[in-house]
Amino acid sequence: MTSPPTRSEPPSPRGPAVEPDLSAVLQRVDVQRMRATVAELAADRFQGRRVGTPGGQAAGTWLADRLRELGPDVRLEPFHVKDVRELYRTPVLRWIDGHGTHDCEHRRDFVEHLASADLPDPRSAPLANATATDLHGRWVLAPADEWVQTTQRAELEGAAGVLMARGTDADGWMPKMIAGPPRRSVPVIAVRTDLHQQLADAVESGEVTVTASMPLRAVSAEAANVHAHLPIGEGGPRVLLTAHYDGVGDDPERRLPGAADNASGVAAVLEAAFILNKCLTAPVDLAVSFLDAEEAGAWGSAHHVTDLPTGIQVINLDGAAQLYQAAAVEAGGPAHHLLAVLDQAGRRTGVPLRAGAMASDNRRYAAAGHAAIGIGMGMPGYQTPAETPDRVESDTLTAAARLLIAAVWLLAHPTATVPAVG
Amino acid sequence: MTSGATGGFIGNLEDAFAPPAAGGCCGSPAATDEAPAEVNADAVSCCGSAPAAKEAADTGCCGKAPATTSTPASGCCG
Repeated sequence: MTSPPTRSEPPSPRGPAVEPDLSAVLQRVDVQRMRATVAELAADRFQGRRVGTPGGQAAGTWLADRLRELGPDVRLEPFHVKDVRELYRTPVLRWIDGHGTHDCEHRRDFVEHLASADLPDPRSAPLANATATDLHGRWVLAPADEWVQTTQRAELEGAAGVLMARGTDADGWMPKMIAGPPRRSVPVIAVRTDLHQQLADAVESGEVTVTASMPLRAVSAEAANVHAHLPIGEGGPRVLLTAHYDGVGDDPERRLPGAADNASGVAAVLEAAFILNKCLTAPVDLAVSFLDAEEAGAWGSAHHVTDLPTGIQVINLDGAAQLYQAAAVEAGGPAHHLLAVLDQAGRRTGVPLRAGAMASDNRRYAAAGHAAIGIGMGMPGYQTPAETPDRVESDTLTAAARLLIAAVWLLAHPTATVPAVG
Repeated sequence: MTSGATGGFIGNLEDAFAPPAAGGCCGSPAATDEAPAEVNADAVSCCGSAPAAKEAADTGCCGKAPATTSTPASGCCG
């Protein structure tokens, strides 16, 4: 497999003397190089790349080294993040009823609710329905549509904690998140919907004792964006390609490799930068940013926008692992021209596009007044242990890299683009 | 999947400025059947607390309908 960091050709930051046409440039995309990047970022040593962890910091350093192979102007931008939710021990959940003891598996049968209070050690207490007259000292089953109200009452009455219902993904996993609502003063645990119903049935027919812990705390973290300035020629449009490299991090006893979200997006952006750096001669003031702390609340982009020049056009890629029908595209800020160019790029590369919400770093740039587009091309296994490199589709990686290359190429060749809309 | 005949925008380009919601809260898993009340509560701090981010969150996916399997939202709020 091609090594991700190495280039097989001598550096030529300004590109060749004669620029190949777009179709020839697109053919140079190397899917094995992208797959190697995905595999590297998803590897054990990066520990799921949660912001502030040794694995996350090592991933940022590794990406900075990759970008330095394209040009010398690479820098790490450190910043501080607060209130990252950290599961510091595997939680437990079991119950005893008339049929015996039922042990539950974390992330399959139950999962942390991010509003939960920290409960380091298992707490045993009788289970009660939310309709019970007294919740004091009891675990409380919250009806599906009333968990907020139930939690408020549980807090007031001194309940042991709240069990609310939540579904799973198609593979039976309960995805992990690390940023969420304000924390409550009682433990809140999300239980798989069918088990929640089992508990409801059990408590109707007899006594049920629940034992559970939820070792979940809020921590601060040192984060770092990785920026590269890779200008091609003199002047030209300002273009910024971004992808977040952080993940939600491994569980205490389980790997969450984050191959799709967003090692795949990083791989496609890195490949696009590599090809553009090598092949393009038309002037473009190109920059690449691999952002940290997106999973913690899109803080990397929030930090970056504070020192970004005006007139820059941002394309953010979040997920390039499983293109289903069409890539999701969200535009914000003065992005009409950029959107028209992306449409043209989609036509040139055969990548179908469709309006779709992309709640990612692109929104930070758009909110700050920049032309910004977010692109999503699928995340199989989203934020679960099943988000592995083998599920990242080669065709999708190739499509994503080609789409980015074509968009930048068209921005650099304005006579080749379609008119702006709007 | 990516033939030249099918590339480019499907539908109105301008719709990309107000795309349909794809996630309950940002990053909602595809098949999660969370109750609307939980979705709304989770959306409170969705994209951080900065005013610009809140505006972006309020006008975006946060607090809207649950995600579909085919279009998993990406993780603004994790």
